[in-house]
Amino acid sequence: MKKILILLLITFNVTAAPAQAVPDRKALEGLEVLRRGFAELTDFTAEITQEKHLALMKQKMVSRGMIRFRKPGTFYMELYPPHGSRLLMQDNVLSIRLTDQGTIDRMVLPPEQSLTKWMAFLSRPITTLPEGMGVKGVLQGNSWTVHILPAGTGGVKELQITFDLEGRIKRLAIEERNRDRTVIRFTSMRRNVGLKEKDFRLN
Amino acid sequence: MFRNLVLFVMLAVFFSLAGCAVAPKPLVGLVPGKEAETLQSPISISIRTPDGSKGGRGYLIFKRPDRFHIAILSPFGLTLMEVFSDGDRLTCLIPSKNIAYSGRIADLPAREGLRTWGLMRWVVEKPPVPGPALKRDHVTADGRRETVFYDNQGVVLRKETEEGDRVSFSDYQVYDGVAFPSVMEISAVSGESVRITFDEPELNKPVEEGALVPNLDGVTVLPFSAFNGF
Repeated sequence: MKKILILLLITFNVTAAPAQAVPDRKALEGLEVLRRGFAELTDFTAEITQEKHLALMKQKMVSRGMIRFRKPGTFYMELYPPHGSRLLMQDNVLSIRLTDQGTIDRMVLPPEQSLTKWMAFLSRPITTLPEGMGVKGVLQGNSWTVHILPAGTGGVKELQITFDLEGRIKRLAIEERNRDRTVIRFTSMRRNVGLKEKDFRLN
Repeated sequence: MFRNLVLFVMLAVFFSLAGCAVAPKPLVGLVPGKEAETLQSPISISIRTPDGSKGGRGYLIFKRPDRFHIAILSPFGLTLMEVFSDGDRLTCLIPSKNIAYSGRIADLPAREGLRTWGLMRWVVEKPPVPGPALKRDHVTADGRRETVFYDNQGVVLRKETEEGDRVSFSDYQVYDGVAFPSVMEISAVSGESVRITFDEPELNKPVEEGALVPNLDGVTVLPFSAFNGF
């Protein structure tokens, strides 16, 4: 769970990782668009649709929900029933509540993985690509897609993030090495809406 | 007179609510003799151990007599863990680490809720046919003594072994002529428990063989003795 979260944070902010020797120009350009989109906001909210394709099965699982983010470091994700869940990350404390089971898991991430720390990097333009992963950028019409391929044998094979020219994320696809695949689509994204503390509650 | 009337109304409401709480909902459309041979269902699962609780959404596939595949997902949709059971063997695959723990159910370590997976074979074992009595003593396939409790419609409410393992089934619905519980709670005598809730399960639909076999290509397979936590 921790590794997955870290990888997602890297997706939103690759400047935190060491530099790649030969940077891909399109990848840099795309990531800079994404970074600027994040740098210019104080908060955002969006509806999400998550589709999970299990390689061993024909069926796919579809969940709907919403996400909220507020600077400097509060992230909330709710998946609606059936089998609803609420995830709250406050800086480096991650809590997950399963609404139909009544359980809450809490884990504390190391300080260097705190949201505040990650978001601090957003103030710097991206001039190099992260080491230890392949990054490719593709611009098609008004849409960017950045492909991130982590090295090694971890569970995630590829992350694809699609966003518009203002850095608004539209789609996130996560391909796992076991051939499972998750696609999260973002709709009704609203930025700088003035989210309050009460918008980030687990209960 | 008015006070008596109020009291009567309150009592009537109380007893009608109490009645609602205890009277099982009649199961309509049951086909006598028809049973769940296969099951495929989105699930929500929580695992409680003396050290804490964990849980998630997921998917469960089951095929009689005792084969199942459970996938547990993170909130972001990634596969956190897959459990496969076939006879007396169980494989627990952790995709993020490219590691699988595999072995006999009898060798499952008593930590992080793993032992409760070993009870799944007993949980899904066909109970004796219900009789007029609402409670029956029975000997399981592996020779353990159990007590099975039924409701007055003949569905199993819970099973208990003489060692103290227990499983309860609640909120039955009828799917394709078969009564199936929406909630299943397994409690091991070790203090660990697993609660599974099912959402619109598909019963007796074909299950592909491949869905019940772990894909271990490139995965390091270790015995349960090497398990030191997720």
